[in-house]
Amino acid sequence: MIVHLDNISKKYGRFDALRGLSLRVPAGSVFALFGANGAGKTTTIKMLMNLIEPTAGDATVLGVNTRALSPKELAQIGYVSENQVMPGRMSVAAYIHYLRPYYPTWDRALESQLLGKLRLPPERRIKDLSHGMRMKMALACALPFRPRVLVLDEPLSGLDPLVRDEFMEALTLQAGETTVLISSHELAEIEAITTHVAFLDRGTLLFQETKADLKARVREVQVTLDGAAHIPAMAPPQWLGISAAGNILSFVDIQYSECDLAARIAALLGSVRHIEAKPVALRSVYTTLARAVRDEEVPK
Amino acid sequence: MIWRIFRKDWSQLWPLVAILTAIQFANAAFWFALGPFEEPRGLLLAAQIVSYLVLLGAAVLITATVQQDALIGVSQDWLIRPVRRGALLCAKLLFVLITVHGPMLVADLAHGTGAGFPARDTIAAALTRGAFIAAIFDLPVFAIAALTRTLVQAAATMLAIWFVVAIGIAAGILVRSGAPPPFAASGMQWMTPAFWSALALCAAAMIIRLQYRHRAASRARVILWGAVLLAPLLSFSTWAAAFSVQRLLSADPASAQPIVISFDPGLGRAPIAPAPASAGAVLLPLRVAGVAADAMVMSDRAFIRLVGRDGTTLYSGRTTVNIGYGDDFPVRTGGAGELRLHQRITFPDRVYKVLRAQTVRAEIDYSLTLFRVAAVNTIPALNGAGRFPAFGWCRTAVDADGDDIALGCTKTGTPPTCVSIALENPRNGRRNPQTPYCEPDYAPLSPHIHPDALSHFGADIKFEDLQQLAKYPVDGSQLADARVSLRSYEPAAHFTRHLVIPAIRLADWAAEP
Repeated sequence: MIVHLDNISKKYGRFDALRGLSLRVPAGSVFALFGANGAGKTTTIKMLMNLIEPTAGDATVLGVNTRALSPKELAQIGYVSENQVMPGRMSVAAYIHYLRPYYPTWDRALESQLLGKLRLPPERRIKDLSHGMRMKMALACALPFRPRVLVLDEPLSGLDPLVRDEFMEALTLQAGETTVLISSHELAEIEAITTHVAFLDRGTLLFQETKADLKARVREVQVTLDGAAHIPAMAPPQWLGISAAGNILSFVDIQYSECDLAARIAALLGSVRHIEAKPVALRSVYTTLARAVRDEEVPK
Repeated sequence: MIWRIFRKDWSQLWPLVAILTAIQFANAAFWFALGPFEEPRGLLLAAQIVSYLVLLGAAVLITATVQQDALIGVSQDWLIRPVRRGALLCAKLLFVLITVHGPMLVADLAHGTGAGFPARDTIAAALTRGAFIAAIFDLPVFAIAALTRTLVQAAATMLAIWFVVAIGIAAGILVRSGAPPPFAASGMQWMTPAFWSALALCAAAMIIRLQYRHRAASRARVILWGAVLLAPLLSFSTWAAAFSVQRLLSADPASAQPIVISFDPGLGRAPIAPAPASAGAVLLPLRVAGVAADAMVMSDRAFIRLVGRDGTTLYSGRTTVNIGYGDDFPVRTGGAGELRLHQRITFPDRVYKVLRAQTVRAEIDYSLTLFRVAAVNTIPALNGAGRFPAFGWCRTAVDADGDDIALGCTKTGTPPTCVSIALENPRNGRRNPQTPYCEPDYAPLSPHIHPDALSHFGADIKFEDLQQLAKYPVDGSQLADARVSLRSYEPAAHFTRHLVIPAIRLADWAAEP
């Protein structure tokens, strides 16, 4: 495992930001961490980067305890955060020039390629860059040394679609040769590259699995009944977001299984004319789960 | 890596460095232009302001240097870069050394050599000043900067520290019922800044280590505020405790052993009160024996206790209400080994009224310092100039009023703190009364750090009374032949004496005009 969190807790005064969080990020994966605002994603990431100290538990990155991350490990970790503060008075080129010698694996060709792709003005001072430009700048400083791990904390937040595309294009230059841990609400943008997902709720991990497994078990189901549809009083707990319209009942099944599905639905709802189960986009999985968590429907 | 960080900081901060360098050179130029007499007054005022701007500018530059890669917060880019913390600290310290102390050293050397002092003395004075400023100013500022993210936060922290220390000192004054701190206006007042400096240096070293090694801001803040709370500690100590420490630091404790103080009723009442009489003042006749020739004794503090016949303490307190240096009896230049003098003791009015007619036992505890002559030099009274190891570069001139000889001296390092100055005419052997200039500093190490590496001192020596009430042996008509005699004294021993007068009636020794 490239990243390993074991029973991590973090308290801010009386507030539990993380509660016994355990997480494993396999090498080569693009691991998406999602959850509502305040779920603990940024806290988790800052802890991994040794920016904050856990109250309890252990975390390792590249096999090294995060509290003991040395320049050797940091030279293999790229980090981009929406709140990253870079020296404002330095120009883009000057700062990249400053950073270059810190990384033995810095690739000048990749740097040029990135700068071109991200359209960064080399002579402009960092403090004069827009938020989007600054995020691209952070990425341009995180990729050229071909990090073994790339940690991205809400990198797409507040970016316009064009900049998002540029950002994602630059990111995909690296996908495949690096392990990526990304926290983002912009799931539509990251879905294509994501291989693993984890869902955090109020400092607790609800689940983590591969995207393939998640998409296989979460389906949007539409049941066409012979008679009028109504929301069953005793619906299975894995059915989320149930709605009824005419003779159609819709829901998201988070434990979808084709086996005996028709019989189970018929037993609950009566005569079924047609069942359609569609794969769900990551964004819809997130919104459904987030809504359910908010309304405390989701089975833990 | 150190040099890389240094260059990065330089690219960000060079305008600030340029401004501070300009201020430092302006400071040296102003003090050079002022010369030994520190005139004109307008330039002196400007020089004083600029000298404080140097410290302010240095504090701003140090803070900005540290906060280029702030240690507080979780958003700074450098935190996720492979930057060695030790290298970062070294780079910052090197930056401060080169950008703050480089120009300071050059300005001090230019000033010193420009004023004609030998290169060796100038370099020693400049390096000493730089080292002390680095230890007691730079590092504490550095530590505060390491605990804050912005200049405003750093300034607010410094103000808060000042405020807490001031409250602590005020609490000490309150505890002492309004009396000033125990060492105020004495040669031992070095103890408070020395304690503060040591405390600040230790706390700064610990904070910097914690922050650069572990980024343990909470623990570092505990150390900071712990040190701040400890700062007013000396304000709650006692004179006796402090003087016992000072005695241990005596250069030659044995030299004070022959000195004896005794009650000397044979001297009689003071014919003329040395100061305006007041209802509670007593002029106690004393004999001080065993003072070596050319030495002098100064009473740093004296405490009197009046005891009734039944053994109860009727009064206990200091012998004076003054808070100036040498407040208990005046500085005495020795000569024949024995001095007879009247010590002025002032009692609160209500105490004096009650006790004046009673026969009481008086016990006086003296804290004394024996001074020995360190250097004697003379300089012509009229437009004289001379360079002396003890006094530096001195010049004399008649002042604008035409009644004083103005003496101005500039010296590398620390100025003499106890000097006796007299106008004398070697042709006729006449000599005016000595002008003591004594604000002694008993510090074992007393560096001169402000406003520059050169120290300045001076005095006005009277030869005419414009009111024509007093006539001086060496007057204006003799100035062409006259010379100023400078005598510098250094403390040799700090010692105590306990004087017991078994029976005394205060009224018998009351000061009367």
